[in-house]
Amino acid sequence: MSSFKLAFRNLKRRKSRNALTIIGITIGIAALIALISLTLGLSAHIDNQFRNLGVDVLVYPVSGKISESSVDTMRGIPGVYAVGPRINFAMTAVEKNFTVPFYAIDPAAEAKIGFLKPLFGGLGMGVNQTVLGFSLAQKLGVSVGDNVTFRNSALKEFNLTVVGILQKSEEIISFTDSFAFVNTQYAENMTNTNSGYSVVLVRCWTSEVSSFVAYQIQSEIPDVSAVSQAQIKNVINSVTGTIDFFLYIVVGLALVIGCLGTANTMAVAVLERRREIGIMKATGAKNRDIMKIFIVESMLFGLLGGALGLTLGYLAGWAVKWYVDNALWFIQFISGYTPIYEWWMLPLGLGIAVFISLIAGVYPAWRASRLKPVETLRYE
Amino acid sequence: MSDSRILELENVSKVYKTGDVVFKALGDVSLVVERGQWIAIQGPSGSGKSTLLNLIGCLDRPTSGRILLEGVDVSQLDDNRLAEIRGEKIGFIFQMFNLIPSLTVVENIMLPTYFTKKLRKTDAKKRAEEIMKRLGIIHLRDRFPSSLSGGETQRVAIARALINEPSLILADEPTGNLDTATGSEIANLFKDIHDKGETIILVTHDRELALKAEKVYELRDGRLKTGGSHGSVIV
Repeated sequence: MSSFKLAFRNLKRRKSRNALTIIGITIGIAALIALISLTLGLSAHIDNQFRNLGVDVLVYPVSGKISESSVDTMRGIPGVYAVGPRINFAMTAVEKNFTVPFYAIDPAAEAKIGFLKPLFGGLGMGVNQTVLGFSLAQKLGVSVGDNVTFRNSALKEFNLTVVGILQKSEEIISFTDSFAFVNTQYAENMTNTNSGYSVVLVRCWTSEVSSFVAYQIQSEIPDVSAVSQAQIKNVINSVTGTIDFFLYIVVGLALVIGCLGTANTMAVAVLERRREIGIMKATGAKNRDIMKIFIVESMLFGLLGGALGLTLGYLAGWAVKWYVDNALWFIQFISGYTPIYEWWMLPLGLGIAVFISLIAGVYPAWRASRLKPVETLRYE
Repeated sequence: MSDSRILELENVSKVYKTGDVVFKALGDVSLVVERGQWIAIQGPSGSGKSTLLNLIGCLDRPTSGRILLEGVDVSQLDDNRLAEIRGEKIGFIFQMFNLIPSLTVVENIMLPTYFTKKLRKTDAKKRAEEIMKRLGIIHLRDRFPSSLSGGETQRVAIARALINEPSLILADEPTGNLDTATGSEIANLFKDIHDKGETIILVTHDRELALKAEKVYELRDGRLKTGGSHGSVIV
């Protein structure tokens, strides 16, 4: 006979209540493990994207569009190597009936920037020709040479020939994977506008000067916002950090709820088993023996909940990835990430589960140990 | 105190207080029990029989007086020491049997050895099996209490009381929840145990059981009255 054996036997006695208690801990630990694997995976994904990042400065209009003269000004700023103005618009893929985001680009400038890397075909686009991002081409089920019909907001249809398909992008802000590209020169009919650009990509001679170039652009050109690679990374880190913070609060709450559930179960178990406590004391159990039995029982909740939580958390991490890859494929920022599981998550998950169950069990166990044998034996 | 005296109570009293209400459950009880003696304590309900047994069994402390168990004044000991004495020197048998429902028969019998830690597990198991054979319950060893009859359950409880070879066996109405025939079997079992040299103090309403004791005391209104000798039962 051991405390573990006694505890196991007691777990079997109130199956549904004990199962619910274990589920409480399981959910908390599963959420924690899934969140850590997600955070690690996303962080590595973002880092990887930034390592491959071609753009040094992104320029957005504060209001309206960026004019051609502003683009010319950018070209003249010291440290600027290439400037790629883009016009953002959307058309509907007629056959598949979904909205496709488009960029009208200057192929020569983009080639210099080096962002758009063709996997098949090339970037040179003539009239009624398009280059597709990798994921978009997959979704449309087309290859180089195929024709795709798009309809713009004025309900005018364009039958575009695919002349290039880009490599699968690992970059965070290149917006290539889910986009279609056309040549700015021939895009006037599609965009229904010729008044300016929606974004400008700037490549510097070296990335070290990107913050300086961003500052210069912002100083010299009114009504634009220029952000450097480092600033973007900071913003994204700050956003993901804030999201993580709130998610960890939610996980913390889940763990507190699991802890309270265990405390409640243990408190009820002490009440229900007062007579048994009396029997054990009458047969020689010391206060510490009683405390040990209830603490081991409580820890068992933690061990079982922790083990189940680790398994569920592992599966949940992959389920989130599956969802992101299938349902949120167009969000370049997170698409393609892989959850990361480290060895230390195993002792961490189990450790936290056992710790919270210990915290939950100590007071009820202490109360159980202090019960007077003569009073507990009277208890019916 | 002579070596032959296993238990000595000197002017033991127990008073319960609930708010302003004071209830004297036992008043100045003195009693001497010799080693190997079997005494029965009788008395009406509420006379303090169970209170007396609880004090002797170190489950409770007296309000005043001394209880000497094998020469040790147990009324002065702390909780841990009392627990040790309960495990090593006292075997309890209750009216309600008081087995742990989640443990098998053999595990219930071995329970006191788990707390006293004086026996290795294999030795404890061996001893439990010997006792089960002696009490005719070896076939029940892996059953759970819920599947046992009243008589079987009480035999298991008696086996548990014997496992640590206690100096003193205390039984509180051991036949109170049994039918007449089973009660008679248990009464005979007590006689067998006593014949093997055990010291027994039992509280009972059972005339047949009390008749088997060497000495019978009557507890009335918290006071222990003159004991009768073997066969003289005060009711």
